[in-house]
Amino acid sequence: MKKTIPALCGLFAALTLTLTGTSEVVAYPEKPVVIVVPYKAGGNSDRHTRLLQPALQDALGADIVVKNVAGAAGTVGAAQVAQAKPDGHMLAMMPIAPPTMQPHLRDLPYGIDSFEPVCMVDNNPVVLMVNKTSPYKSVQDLVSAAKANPGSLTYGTTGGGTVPHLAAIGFLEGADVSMKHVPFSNAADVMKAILGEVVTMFIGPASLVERFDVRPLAIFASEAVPMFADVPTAKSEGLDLVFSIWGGLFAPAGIPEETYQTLTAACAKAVADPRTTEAMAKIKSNADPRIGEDFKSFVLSQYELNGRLLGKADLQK
Amino acid sequence: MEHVVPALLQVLSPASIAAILIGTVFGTIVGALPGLGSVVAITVILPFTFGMPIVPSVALILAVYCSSIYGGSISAILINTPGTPQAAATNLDGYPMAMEGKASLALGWATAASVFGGVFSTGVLIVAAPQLAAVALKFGPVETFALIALALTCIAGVSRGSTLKGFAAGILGLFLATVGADPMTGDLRFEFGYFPLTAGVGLLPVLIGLFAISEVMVRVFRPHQATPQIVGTVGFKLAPLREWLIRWKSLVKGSVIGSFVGVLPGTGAAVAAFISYAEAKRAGRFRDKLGKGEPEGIVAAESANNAVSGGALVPTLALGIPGDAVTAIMMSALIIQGVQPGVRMFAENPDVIYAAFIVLILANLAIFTVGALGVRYFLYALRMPVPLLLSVVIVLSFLGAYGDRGNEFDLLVAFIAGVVGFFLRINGFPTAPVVIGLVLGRIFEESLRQGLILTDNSFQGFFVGHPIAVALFCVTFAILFLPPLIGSVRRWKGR
Repeated sequence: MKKTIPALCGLFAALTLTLTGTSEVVAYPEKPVVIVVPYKAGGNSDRHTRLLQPALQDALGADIVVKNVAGAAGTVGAAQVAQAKPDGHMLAMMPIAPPTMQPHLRDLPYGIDSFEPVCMVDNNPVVLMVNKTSPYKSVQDLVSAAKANPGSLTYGTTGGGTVPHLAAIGFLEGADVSMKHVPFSNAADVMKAILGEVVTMFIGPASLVERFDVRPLAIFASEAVPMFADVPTAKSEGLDLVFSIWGGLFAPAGIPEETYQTLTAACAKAVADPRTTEAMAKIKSNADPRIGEDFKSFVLSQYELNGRLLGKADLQK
Repeated sequence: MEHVVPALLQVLSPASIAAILIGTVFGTIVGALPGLGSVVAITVILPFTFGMPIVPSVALILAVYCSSIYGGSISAILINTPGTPQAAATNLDGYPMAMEGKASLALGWATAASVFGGVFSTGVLIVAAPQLAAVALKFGPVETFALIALALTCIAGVSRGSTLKGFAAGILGLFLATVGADPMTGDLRFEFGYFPLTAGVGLLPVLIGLFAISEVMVRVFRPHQATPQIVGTVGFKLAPLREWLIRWKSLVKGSVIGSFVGVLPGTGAAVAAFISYAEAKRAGRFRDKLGKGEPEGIVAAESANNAVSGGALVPTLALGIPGDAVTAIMMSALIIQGVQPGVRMFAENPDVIYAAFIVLILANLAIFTVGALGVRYFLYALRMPVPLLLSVVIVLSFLGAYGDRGNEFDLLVAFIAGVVGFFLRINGFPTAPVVIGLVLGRIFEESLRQGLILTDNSFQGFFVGHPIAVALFCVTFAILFLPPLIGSVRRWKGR
């Protein structure tokens, strides 16, 4: 009995604490914040999350735990965050596809309105690249070769309905040529096929150009990108095409306004932090911070644009 | 060679040596825990490398990489649960040996074969990395398809008793690999409108279910069946040298196969171990005893899966294309350190490359030391009361199944795989072919379909202008059809 009474008192105290804790508006963040990366560790989204982690941790004043929830082209992790309690303690670091492309491609347990975009971190235009030893030294070379021998050239992608696929469809249509489509499951496999001369071209992330020492023929940006100043834009080659792969932080929809403001302010601080910018420069990733409403309208416009493009490519569900 | 001395000096610094030792102990333990495996081990240590100079951080990552592959064999031998998919082939002979009370010997075989394979592949790396990288690029979809077809023949090798049952199990594995999003088009297959299935059936949960959870069920179902016998004081025991000499061919072949398969991106240690095992089953001196607790099976599997660690570094460092998930993570660590793996690395950072080679050799020697001194502690696991051991296996299994992708659905997959594995086993179906089918299924399908796109849907196109593929197809046909052919010729002559 002697031991029971203090134990009961302790239990009572704990109960009171929990009850009062839930009845008041609690300060955010009250515990570590989990950022779900919907891909395996080591990939692009994972890398950006981890390089943002130290600065965001300081700006938010809470520990950040990175959780990789991989599978089904990022939709498993995205669904997990969409269905999470919208209290700001579970966020997602997602690239373009899971929120703005996948919902057009198939039925998912989430949609574009399941998320509240917080801030954008990186935005990298895609680049048309060929093997360094290939005879194609310009977009014109490639187009005339494809016109001379229709169907003999090939292009690799990271799968059907991805940004590289859409960009290639746009390019082929604009140049009025045809090439065989060979899908691969990830960018590294496509690059191996480019280096091994299995496929002719790939329109993929600009950061790959230096890493694999391939020849860039055009960058799909509206104006020259400082990091790739010597690569002509697609526009200057006569094709007005803009495609890029971006990534940013999302919260589940229904997050309280106050928490959302805290989050966007912290993220704005974190993306401008020299630790973040230096780390991004190191991996040749183009920083493009868009905060709160700015990012929200960007995501919505991308969602609509990608829906149109996928519909045109006959890929929409 | 002028880069070797500075590289050596960097590797021999106290920080690098400490990194190798700590990494080896940590990697062995994590590798031995079922389902955690190399990827988890490396992800956990990755943040620690950010603040370290480049050579010690490479040393830490490589030591964890090699030792976690080795660690997987410990649990495969002791509790019939490969700690990593790479050790699934080690299971086939390792566990039967432990059942006979030869656990210490089996661990000795596994350790020494691992170290041999690892050192061998590093040697190959040092001599021929740039040339090997060029060969890897020649492996387009058609060649990859031919290689995987060859690897699939080991389903016949592991299906002792009934080849038909083995094929059925292999087809089940191949089928499981097709569940989820189509790798080429993204269309969904066999997901029955159930969202979690769109991510496909995870390899690790199935592996854990088929081997570990079903093992527990079989033990409960047949409580009087033999459990591993503990004879006297067990520890780490090396077989006498002559025992090694008569199995040298499988050891060397395994190392060569592992080094080569490692060089090819997208294949990995599990594939290498199964190809090497199939080769031992075909041409090994003790091929008839394979699968019943014959050291040659352990030697073939372990030398091959550890030789992959050296081989996989070739495309990672020389091309910037990671050979497997582990090297992919390692590559991001290097990039964060400011070293860009890829075609220019041999020219720009030769010291890092040579330091990596030296670290690999030292890490393999560290495995031997840790194995010889530390493995006895793992053997205590066997002295646990059986109900306690089985409960620990169940807990570790579900932890591992969840940890792989952080997906709750995988717990269900592991459980179902356990029940399916249980029924397969009590009905005499081998479970290893299911794993082989699942491991190889996706890349088999992908390479076949890519190849068909390139040849305009013509199978004949696979044989024209693809000499490597044709050679591999010939070996596959020989493995499948020569033994029955020779058998019938002998019978005909005997009449």
